[in-house]
Amino acid sequence: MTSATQRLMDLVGANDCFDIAPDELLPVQLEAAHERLQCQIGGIGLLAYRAASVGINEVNEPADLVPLLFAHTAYKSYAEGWLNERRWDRMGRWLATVSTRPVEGLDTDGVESLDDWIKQLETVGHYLSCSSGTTGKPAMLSCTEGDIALSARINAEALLWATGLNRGEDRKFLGLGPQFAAPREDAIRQAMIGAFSSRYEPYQFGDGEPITVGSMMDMITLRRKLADGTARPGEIADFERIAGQRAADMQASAVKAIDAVIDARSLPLLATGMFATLYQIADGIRAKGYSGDDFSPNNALMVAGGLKGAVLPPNYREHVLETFNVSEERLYHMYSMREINATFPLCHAGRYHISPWVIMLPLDVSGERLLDPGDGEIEARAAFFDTSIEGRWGGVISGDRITVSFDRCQCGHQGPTVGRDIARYSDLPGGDKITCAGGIDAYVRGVA
Amino acid sequence: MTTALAAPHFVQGALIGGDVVGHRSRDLGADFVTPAIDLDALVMPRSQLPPLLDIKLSEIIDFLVEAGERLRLDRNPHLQECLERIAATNPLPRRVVENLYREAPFFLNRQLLESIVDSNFAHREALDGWVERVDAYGNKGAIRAFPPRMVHMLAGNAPSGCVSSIAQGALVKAVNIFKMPSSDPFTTVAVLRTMAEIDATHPVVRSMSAVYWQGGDTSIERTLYRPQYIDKIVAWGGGDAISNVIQYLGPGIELVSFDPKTSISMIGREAFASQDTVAEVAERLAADTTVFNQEACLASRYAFVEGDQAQVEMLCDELVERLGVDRDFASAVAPPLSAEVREEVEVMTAMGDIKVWGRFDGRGMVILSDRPVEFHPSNKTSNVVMVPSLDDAVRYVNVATQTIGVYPYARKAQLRDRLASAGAQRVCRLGTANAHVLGSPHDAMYPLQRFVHWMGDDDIA
Repeated sequence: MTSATQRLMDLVGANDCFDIAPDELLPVQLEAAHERLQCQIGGIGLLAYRAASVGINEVNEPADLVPLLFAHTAYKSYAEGWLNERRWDRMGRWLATVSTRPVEGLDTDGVESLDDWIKQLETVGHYLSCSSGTTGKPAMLSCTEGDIALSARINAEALLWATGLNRGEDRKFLGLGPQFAAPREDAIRQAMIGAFSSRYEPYQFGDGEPITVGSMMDMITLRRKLADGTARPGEIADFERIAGQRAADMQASAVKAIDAVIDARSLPLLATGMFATLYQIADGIRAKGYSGDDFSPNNALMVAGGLKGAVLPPNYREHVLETFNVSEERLYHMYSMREINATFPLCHAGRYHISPWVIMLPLDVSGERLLDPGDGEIEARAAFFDTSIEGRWGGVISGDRITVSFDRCQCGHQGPTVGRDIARYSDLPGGDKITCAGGIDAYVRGVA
Repeated sequence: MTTALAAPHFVQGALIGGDVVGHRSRDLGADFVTPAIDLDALVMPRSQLPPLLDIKLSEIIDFLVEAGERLRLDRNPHLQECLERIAATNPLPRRVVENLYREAPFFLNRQLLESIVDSNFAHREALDGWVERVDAYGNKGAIRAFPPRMVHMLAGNAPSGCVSSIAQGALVKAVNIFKMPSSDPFTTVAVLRTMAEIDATHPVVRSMSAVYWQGGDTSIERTLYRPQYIDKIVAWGGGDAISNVIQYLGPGIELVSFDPKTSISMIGREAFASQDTVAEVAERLAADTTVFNQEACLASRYAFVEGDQAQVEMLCDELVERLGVDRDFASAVAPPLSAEVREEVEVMTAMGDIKVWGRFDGRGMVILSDRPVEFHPSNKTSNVVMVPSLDDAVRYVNVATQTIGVYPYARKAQLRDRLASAGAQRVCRLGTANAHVLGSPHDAMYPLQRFVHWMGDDDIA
């Protein structure tokens, strides 16, 4: 008999993938989670430690998973000092503790930079997906070749499901945001181009060189030196100059992107980006005298992520859609996170649908207790067990506050869904908390 | 569904009840209700002289001392009632809050009040009137430490701290508004009610108002935080509340901030002279680490220790035992560590980078590492860091370092200049972080001389 994990993987891209009754799925999902636990517990040090300390060795019900979940911060739990001092041995030992595969036999002799180390890790089967490090130390998640291929496929299939587009229809692909160099993100992009864009040359925002996490190292290092009190004023001034240059480069890229979009206006388009950048480009298009009427009908748009702190006018969404001539049903919006392979597409009733190979675990604010939504909608801290992940433990507690329901969605499909209103707990106003206890981080300004 | 707790306001001597505005406390999510704030009543116009202007300092101190006598918990019904209510809003255990209340009268102790005045003001007469002086050229003039108009943003982590703020406000004869925290919207009003029972028309009482609004409420703050109404905003701590206030600062309205701080310990190899010294040092370090269950800024979080591995581990063995005992201002079991910190500790343990004593059960934890951990140790967690010499620990001291408890005590003198240069604000004997010499500076300043409005009368002939 095929494994439960395999049975769930077979649902990727299946027609009824987002329409399975939760009760029917749960036994298979739990079996798959149990399979993952058995085969990963020997490799992932943190999982073994956690399982031993809570005394859980098998998964029989969703609550068994809760004490075994990793906080999303586990993937940035290395000491920043190791990174700054280029202690690749310790970084390697850390990565192995949160990854399925070992980091044995890694040759770090020629490794000078973070980018070198990440490249070298690929020789031992670790393909890292890193956050940018612009707002703190970067998260680093190890993926296998399988995770990468699957992430790419899952994303393309979800896009097809949500928008009704057909594989093979020719569209010019417009990447309207900075491109980060990482195998997983590359593969996701290539899969979309492959599905729709054989005929037209894809366009990519920026100067052709994808941004690497290593290029953020100067910022990470300076932040540490500021906290340690060892940064010299000259270093800060140099950094400010570089940061200014980067902002100017972004601006220049946005101006170029406006012309690129206008040039492509007669072609069927599939554009991707985040609302903040898309809004800026839409504004530029309007300023040059173009509007939705100049663009081909049936354009499609994929928008990732929230506003990430950007302040836009209330009608930003309509403004972008009208300018690019994209109808609501051709807008693909999804909820996802680097910590899982799945992406949850937004349906026409305005809800994100959870993939069948993912166990939705609504938790209390502290992330310790499983909540029972009953037959209603509840507010919860989002946590998931993604049974598809090979390179890491599939159970993760996010930093997101969501609303979730296990009832049939108004769009007609079954399965758990998440409401549109998603907030990061860290972005919620801190209220009137005031305390005399705190650390040096409060004193570090300018390179947040 | 429990009914919301009533949190009345106190405005210039009058108790204001009402259940017009519903709030939820930040830490424990308890519901409480307050009256609406009448800003016209709260703000005393500058056309009106401060009520305490012509009251002698000695009379103010007499009044505060009497109020202190009446704050004894056993015979004060207002504090007793507070003790019941605060359990719903404040994470500190009831027994610790009770001990804090029992300590509250000390803040109004005559010797303390006198020493605060003496250490803050070279001429205390300037608080009572115009003090004449003549410069080197024979020019005559006079100065006065004129009463300011102040908002005190009270911290929630020390419920008796409001008594100290009330004393400060009274000593500088200020017109005071106390902005209460959501984790304790009760104690300040209870203290002021106690004062009003002595004499509701006393100028000290008429100079005091205590209200709650949710920090960041622009309908209050945009109106109130203007130099036309307020000279100084005093904030006990940091966080979003302060970041929010900063936007209202400008000419004429100043922030006096007791910044968020971390405290540490430095322990020399003399600690390992005998089993007894190890036990004594472990107890002293535990006492400094657990103050208010480590919610206080003066609570030690990192201990830099000279010694070899076996010696330091012996200290850790003893320390974790001592972290788990009941104390006047700490409980045997504190709230557990956050999931994120727990994760970081687990990862480092699993990779063999640190050694850990204790569990994630709130009884206390010791983490031994070769460099300070990057998270903020809390909930009775001590990060013991081995150093070849205490000189090597100085580089971990920075502008956020407040108190440094040192053992053996004689080594304070060898270290203190370099510690001050690195940004630290206070050294003390290990085990005495929560005790102070009367009239000592706080956070490297004498705050009262910054509160007052120094007015000059230059009488040059």
